[in-house]
Amino acid sequence: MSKGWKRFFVADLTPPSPSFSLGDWQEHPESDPQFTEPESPLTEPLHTRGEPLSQSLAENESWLKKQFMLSTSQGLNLRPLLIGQTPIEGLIAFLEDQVDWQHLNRTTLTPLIDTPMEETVVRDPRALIQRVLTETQATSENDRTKLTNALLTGSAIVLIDGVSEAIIVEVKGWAKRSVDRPTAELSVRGPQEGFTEDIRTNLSLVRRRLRTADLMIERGHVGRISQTDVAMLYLKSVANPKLVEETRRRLRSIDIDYIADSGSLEQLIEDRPFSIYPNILATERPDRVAAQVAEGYVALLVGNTAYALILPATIPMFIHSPEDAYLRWPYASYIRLIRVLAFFAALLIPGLYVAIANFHQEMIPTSLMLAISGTRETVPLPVVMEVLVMELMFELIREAGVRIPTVIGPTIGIVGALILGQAAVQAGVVSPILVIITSGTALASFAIPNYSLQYSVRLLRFAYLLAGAVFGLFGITLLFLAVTMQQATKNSFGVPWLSPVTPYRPMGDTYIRLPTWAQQNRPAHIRPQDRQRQTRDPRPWDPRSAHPQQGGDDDYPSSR
Amino acid sequence: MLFVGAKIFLALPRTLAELGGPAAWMIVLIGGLTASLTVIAILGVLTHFPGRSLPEATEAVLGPVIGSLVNLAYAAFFYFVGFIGLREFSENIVAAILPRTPLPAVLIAFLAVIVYGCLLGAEAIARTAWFVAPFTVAGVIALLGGGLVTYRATNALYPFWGPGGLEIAGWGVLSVSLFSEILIVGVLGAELRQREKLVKAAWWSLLMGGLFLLGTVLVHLVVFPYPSSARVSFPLLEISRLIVTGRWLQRVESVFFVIWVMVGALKVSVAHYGCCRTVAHIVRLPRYQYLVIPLAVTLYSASLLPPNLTTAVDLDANILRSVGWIISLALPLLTWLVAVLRNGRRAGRAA
Amino acid sequence: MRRKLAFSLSLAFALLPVAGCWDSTSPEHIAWVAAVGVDKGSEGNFLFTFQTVLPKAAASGASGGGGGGSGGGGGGGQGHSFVVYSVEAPDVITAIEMSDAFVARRVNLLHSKALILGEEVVEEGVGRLIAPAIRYREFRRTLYVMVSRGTAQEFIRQAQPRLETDPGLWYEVMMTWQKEMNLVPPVRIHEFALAMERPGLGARAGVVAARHDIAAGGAETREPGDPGGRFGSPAAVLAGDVDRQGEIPVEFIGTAVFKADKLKGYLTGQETRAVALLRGELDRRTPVSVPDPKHPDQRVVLLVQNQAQPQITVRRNGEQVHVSFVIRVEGDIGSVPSVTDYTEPESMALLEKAVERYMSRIVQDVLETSLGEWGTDLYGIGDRLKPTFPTIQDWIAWDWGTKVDQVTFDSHLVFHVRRHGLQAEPAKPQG
Repeated sequence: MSKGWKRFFVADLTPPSPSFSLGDWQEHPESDPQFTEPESPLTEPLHTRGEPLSQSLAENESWLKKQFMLSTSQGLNLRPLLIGQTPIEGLIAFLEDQVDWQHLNRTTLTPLIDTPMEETVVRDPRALIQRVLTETQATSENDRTKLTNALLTGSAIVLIDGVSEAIIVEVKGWAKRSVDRPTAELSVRGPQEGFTEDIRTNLSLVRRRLRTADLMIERGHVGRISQTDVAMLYLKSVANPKLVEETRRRLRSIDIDYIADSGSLEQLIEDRPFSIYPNILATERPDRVAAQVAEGYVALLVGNTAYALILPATIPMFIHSPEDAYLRWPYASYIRLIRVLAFFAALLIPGLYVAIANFHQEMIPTSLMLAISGTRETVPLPVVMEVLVMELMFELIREAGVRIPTVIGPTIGIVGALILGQAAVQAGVVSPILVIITSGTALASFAIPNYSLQYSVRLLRFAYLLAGAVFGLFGITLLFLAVTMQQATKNSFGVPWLSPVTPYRPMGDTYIRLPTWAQQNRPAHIRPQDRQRQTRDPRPWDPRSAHPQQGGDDDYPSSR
Repeated sequence: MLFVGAKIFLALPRTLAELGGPAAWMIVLIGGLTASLTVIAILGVLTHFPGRSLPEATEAVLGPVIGSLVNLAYAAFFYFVGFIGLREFSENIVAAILPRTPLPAVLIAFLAVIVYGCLLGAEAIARTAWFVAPFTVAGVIALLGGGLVTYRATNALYPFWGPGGLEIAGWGVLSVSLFSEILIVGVLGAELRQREKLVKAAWWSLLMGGLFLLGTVLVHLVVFPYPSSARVSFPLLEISRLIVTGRWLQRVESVFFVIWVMVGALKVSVAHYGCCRTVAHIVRLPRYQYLVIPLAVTLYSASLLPPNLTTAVDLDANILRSVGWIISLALPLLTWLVAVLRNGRRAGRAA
Repeated sequence: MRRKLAFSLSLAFALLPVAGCWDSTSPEHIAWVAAVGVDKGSEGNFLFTFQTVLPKAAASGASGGGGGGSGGGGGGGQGHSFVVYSVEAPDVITAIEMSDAFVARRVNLLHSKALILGEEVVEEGVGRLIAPAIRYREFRRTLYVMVSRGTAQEFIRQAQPRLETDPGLWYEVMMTWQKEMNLVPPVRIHEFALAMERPGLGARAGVVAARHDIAAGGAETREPGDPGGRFGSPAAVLAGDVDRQGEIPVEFIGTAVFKADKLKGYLTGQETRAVALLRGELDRRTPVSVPDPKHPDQRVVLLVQNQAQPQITVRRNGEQVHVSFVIRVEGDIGSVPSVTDYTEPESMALLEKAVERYMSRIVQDVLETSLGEWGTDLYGIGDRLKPTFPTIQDWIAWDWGTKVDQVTFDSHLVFHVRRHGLQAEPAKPQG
């Protein structure tokens, strides 16, 4: 972007540099991808290493007090103790609202104080971990920065006089929500659990669905201040290593102070930040994450977020819903086609209406035309404004509906229905046909399963509206072409955004969902290492033959 | 890459009907057969230089001077296709759909998208084309079918030989340039490195383009039997306006119109892209992108040169479609022959 | 960068109103024409009559029709769903221009359904009218063409539908059914212009007429259209002569036959069906009433249709052309007023023979009139002659148009009864 518009007018003689792409469209014969150990794992803290601890307990204590500004800031608890019934002093430090006090007491305090120990054991953190602190996860560490982090993420640290290493004890215990139904991605059929804000719960939700050692979970932190947990999930034997490496690279290079949600992270790693369409799929359903990871996608779980990210994302994924896989294939295919229809309807209806009403009156049936011109006589606004006003009105209702406190929630429906419907028409401000147009558009836009895509459709709708108002169908078509061209060059993590539609990669799961047993291949456009889901027909039993061992017509073995 | 067929949307079927009367379809058939020679030639040239585009290969074969001249001819050809296509499509839009909108406004809007497409590159155009292709194909087939359902003249294709067999054959060979857009395959050849894909793409575009041309011309002749067929300005538009199947299914030209604009924009984009790539190669520029806007400006002015629609169509029909065969058939064939000869000599020397 | 973006965005928005809307017209600023009538005007001009629809009435469904159908006078009359006015101009475009002098809305033909030609105009030739019309984009080639006995203006003034509020809908529904009933040929401007342009082919158009007597409240007792009841069928009349009362004071029946662009003559409703039979267009059952072979004073009604496309065989020997038509017709017994049981094989054969005789006569008559007398080829004989010429030049040089009236022909009609309605034997009243 640095060269800006100048590059189109002034000769720029540098040869074009290739952008990151997983097997670009020119189809170079691909080198056999080999899985390599990552050079530096994601678990490395993303900032510089701190100083080591000192041997003196007092020195360490004062460092801690200084670090957490104990004189002014509350929260850090320092509990002195004598370890293992010996005179060696120790100190347990923890943040009071981050740990489960009972847990800490049971797993750490009591064993450390009550167990009789020899001094050599006390002075050896490794031995302590192995023999005393057996009831919880514990590690030893001497890096001050890491210790600070451990404290901040809810661990307690045990400092022992005369030892330059501290023991980190996992006693996390903060308030968290239990696993609940997903709020935005509902489904009738299929699992009814959604992610919570706790990354460990979330990981367990996914892991439960992918019980294989192949499932790689690389964890790390992003954000200087927030130290947000990020976990990258993929299948070692399936996901394209280039994709994994690229994701890792982007995550590692992030240098930001605060990340609150996967939504912020999404904006930091997406390919085309100026694009109006989403590049990365966000979902709150563990089954969706598991299914996509099994196909070779990479998923990112972010701490304190109920939304996981799936990448690379291509256009069909945004109109899929996890439920599609659970329904029998004709139903799923049908509902998908409806969604595709809804997508285009939500995008184009207002624009088309303006174009046809203003430019191409010959294109609608005479009776409808007469109805439109008849009802428009009393309307004080031009067609474009009429549509614009109604659409804005609807956007208002939509936004208000999200913000309104639940107690007075039902009001919005009444107000909305009044404004958008009866009253507006009776007052002669809009024509009745427009109410149909607006509500049709609204319905269609709600049928789009992805929240981000809904936004892009809502925005682009106005662009199409303007194009239709200026040049009629001609404008709409040109805009459609321009947007398609723009989207066609766009990659999401090296995968063309429009694939598998174009470049075309048949996968049996784009618009029409083939029967489950017929989907033998993983999607080719994300170039998984292993294209085959399973080596042979998942239905080795022959659906055409009856039970061969029984021979008879009787389908059920008799009870006798 | 079905852009060979784009011209069915223009006045072409009418021009053909003027030439061939009821046997216009034969011109298409013969033209298509001759055009397969072009394909063979282009593929032949490209086989000798795998991984290179037609302009590069041409230069390698014919030397920098003659090669550049030939490439200039190619560029000029794409340029010509570009501006005539631009003018004709815009003119049709003005004439048929937006009668009160000034032509430059339509041209500029059209050109804006074309330039955008060219800047984004062949990848964008090709993918968009693929995205749009199913709609286009379905739309055209529906349209032709609808036209046939609405009105059919019996025996419209007779007298069989039209203006006479020899004349038809002559026009057929000359109108190989109907398919001269197949040259673009050569330019895009560099993008598609896998040879089998290239070969497949070339033959497919020839076949599909040919089928579409043939289908349209046939339907046009049947729906508008001979003397009328030579008099209708925009055949496909008229066919689409004709379609009536009951009270509810009529006035479908909107469908047609959308397809029309898309195909037009894509066709001109491809031509413009081809032109920019070739020129960029001649003057040895590493990027073609910054040629796009200057050339588009001249494209705009050039497309305003013909004083009226008739001149534009005539220009298309007479100059392009009669000189075009030299460019689209003779030059690639020549290049190929030279390449084969040279290679043979080199092989002989090596042996 | 941001400033540039803002700049280009604001530029785009500033350009919007400038660029916008050359062609944008609010639908309420347009007057939709349902039908255009053309009559002879003074000094070589035409008198164009436009039937424009009142969108409000059409939309709200408020039928203004009622009793005021006779409006006649200045234009449509009170409470109507449409307005009629006439302008004198040399062509349609000028006529629309002229209407702008007194119609506030922009007159638009894109939704028009019918072009009605006055009798005087068609006698002089309509080429001068049709050729410019198909060039003009607002005229769709799907308009129905009709010839009005009397003036088109009269017809349009009377064309106040009773069951429909929107006259456009009325034309469309009317012609849709005619596709089955074949009382008038549902000819669109496309077919009309094509036929006009091609050598020999006769252009057809429906015949319509205004009925002042019905508009005035009653029907004159009139002579049957065909004196002496040549075929005695009620369909054997032309528009304007139908025996009836009530409903709309206009009617559609008969065919106007053209040679090139001039009217040659009219065919009655019955003959129109015969032409349809010869063209293979009678594909839905249409009633034909035939004298009862056993009770000549009574008439049997049969519902007939083409069994297959008629076989038209053309033999050319130099200049001499001979055409044979083989028409296969099938039908159901519709009504038998007498007590004869036509389901018995013998009487059925008798009935079939009678129908064949009766229909052959009509067909033969129509062929004689159209080919011999008027020299127009309504049946695509020319299309079947074309393959006998190798090149287009030969075909044009041969000039089929001048040779139509020298064609010799024979026709053979075969009829079979297929079904006999809901009753086998007729109900017999017993004393």
